[in-house]
Amino acid sequence: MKKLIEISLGIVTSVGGFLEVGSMATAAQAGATFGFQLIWAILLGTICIIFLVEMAGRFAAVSHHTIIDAIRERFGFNAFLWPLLATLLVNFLVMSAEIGGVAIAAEFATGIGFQWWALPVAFLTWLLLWKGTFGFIEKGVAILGLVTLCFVVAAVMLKPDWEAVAAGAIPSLPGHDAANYWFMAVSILGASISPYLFTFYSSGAIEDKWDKTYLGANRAIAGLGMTFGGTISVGVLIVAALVLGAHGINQVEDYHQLPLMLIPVFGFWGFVLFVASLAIACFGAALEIGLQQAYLVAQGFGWTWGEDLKPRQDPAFCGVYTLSLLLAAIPITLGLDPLKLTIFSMALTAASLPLTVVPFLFLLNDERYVGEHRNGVISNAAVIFIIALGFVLAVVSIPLQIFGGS
Amino acid sequence: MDLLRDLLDKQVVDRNQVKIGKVDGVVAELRPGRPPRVLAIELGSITLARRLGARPGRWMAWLAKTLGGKRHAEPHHIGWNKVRDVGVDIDVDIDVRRTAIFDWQDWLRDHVIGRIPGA
Amino acid sequence: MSPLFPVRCRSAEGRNAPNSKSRHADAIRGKGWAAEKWRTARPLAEGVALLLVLLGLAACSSSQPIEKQSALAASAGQTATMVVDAWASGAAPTAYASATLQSMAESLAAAGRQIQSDNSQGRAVVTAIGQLSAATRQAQAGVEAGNPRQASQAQHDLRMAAADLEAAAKPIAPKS
Repeated sequence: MKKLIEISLGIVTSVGGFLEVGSMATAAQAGATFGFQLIWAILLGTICIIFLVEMAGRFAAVSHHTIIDAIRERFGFNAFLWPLLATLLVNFLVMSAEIGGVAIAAEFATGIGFQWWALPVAFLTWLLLWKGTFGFIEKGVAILGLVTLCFVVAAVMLKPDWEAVAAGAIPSLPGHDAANYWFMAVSILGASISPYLFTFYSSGAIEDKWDKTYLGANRAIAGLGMTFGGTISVGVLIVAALVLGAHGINQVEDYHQLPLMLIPVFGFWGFVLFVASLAIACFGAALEIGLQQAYLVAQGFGWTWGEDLKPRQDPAFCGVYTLSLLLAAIPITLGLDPLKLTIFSMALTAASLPLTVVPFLFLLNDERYVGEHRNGVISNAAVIFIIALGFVLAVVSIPLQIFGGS
Repeated sequence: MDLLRDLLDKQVVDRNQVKIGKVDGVVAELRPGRPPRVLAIELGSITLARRLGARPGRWMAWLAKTLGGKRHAEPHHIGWNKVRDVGVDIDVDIDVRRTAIFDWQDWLRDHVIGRIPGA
Repeated sequence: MSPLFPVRCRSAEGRNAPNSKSRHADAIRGKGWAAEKWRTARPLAEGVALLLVLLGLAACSSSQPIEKQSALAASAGQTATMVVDAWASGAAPTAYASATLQSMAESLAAAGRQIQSDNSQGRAVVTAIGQLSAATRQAQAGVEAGNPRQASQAQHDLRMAAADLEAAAKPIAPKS
């Protein structure tokens, strides 16, 4: 019974934690510009992240190592340095974008410009990490994140042509603006397959003291949680297509355009729900990424780490997230457009995938870590596919940004 | 024992189960005709920097000595005789508080982190 | 020998010997191999850094084709119309509506400036965009003054200008 509750909580956490500024912005842009045509990209990204999250959880539960810890141990410090630096950089940009997301939500709510909100938001995030425990953060914010289900509700209320939606689930070639189409596909994949998602998940499994008995729960949480999360992303896309696209707003380049998605459906409450969804989703993501930066460095160097510890007990760990949050607030404070930063960081995430996913192939097949719970044929095939996809994304994302981006 | 596989980059844990760091280097004695004998494990930024190259190693040694004094000019060694167990982690029979390994973290705690309310 | 070796060897007398491959090269090869591979990857890393710089420069690229600017302008115009509707029905707060209209007006002005072709079509598009821009500013003034009639009048102008833009942009239907 206890396991069932934990599974349900885990699923809720994954759902609430899935949507953040990257998935919202890319789905909104895709829906406005290409209607239902890019649903397949969200589906593909979701399937990939399900595999990666399940593997990260299984690895942590069986080997009692986090992925980061094991990468250093298995490949040596010199090899570890590359994924470390790449991930630190990408995380920094994404965290900046998330802080920007909360800042924009605050601007919508109060009328005060987003630049003024960057440091207060970073401070609030820091405060929660400083004083909170892992359980509180993981569950509390994620449950609030369920407000993002409003997009699914809105999508259903708009009565889409479900056949057309289903058709969008199958990849198709664009009728116009090919470079833009593929750039959006790359960004959506970068938003869905975020390295911080699965590395955080493995750290979380250790924080929650998982062991082999959690393997079934892990599969359920990874599969159902990420699926529901992906469904919300598809919801955002559908709403954007039917509200923005249908009103002739085909180019979403300005964050001011986003709340308009929910207003025709819910009236003033649409505005409120959008602001709340954006704020909570991004705030949750900022917390996770802040923690993940600290996990990354602490686990890589073997320092004491743990969100449940008091800062005095792991000063280096806390120092990392404090510094990260402070630095990440700077671009937004300086006025960098949060929407442009988001799209850029999603493309960069996609480009960095090979570095972070290749270790999975080795670690999840290494008996010394996972024993008899090695990857089966399907999981290995999935990892190889994701690595291949990652290399393709790494190669095309920069030219596409030049020719297909804004 | 496979030195690099089972020892290097592994988590080191002290007598009180406190995470000290990772095995950043190994000091071994070469013996002709026999496998090398492990003398000690090395921890610290100087060792890590040396793994990146000779020059980074010298820079880091200079930095450590400038910031921390002579005590920090060399990497931290833990003699092989102190190693109790090599499993998921490497258990060593020392108390980290008696070594200089946590000096910089102690400084961080006392001068930065500890000064912030709620620590 | 390779300074990347993490194993430092001492001879039996206790002096530090330079790093050397012991008889157990197999044991060492695992991570040493990885270290060698990453060393050769350094020029690749420099290439990536160069690409990132190019990327940054590309992000500041200008002079987009006329179709793109027309599409942007059309979307901005429709956004303005939608926002005024939302504000008039009480669904959008004044601060948000006004900020949106301001941002749309700025986007329209930028789109107009970007169009550099000086043929008759280009001029027609620029004119239409100018009308959209003016109507948007009118709407913003109406919203900020709390004057629904002014905002509504501006919406009418927006719709006219949007139709003009569509007509002007038509001959250059996107070639797929």
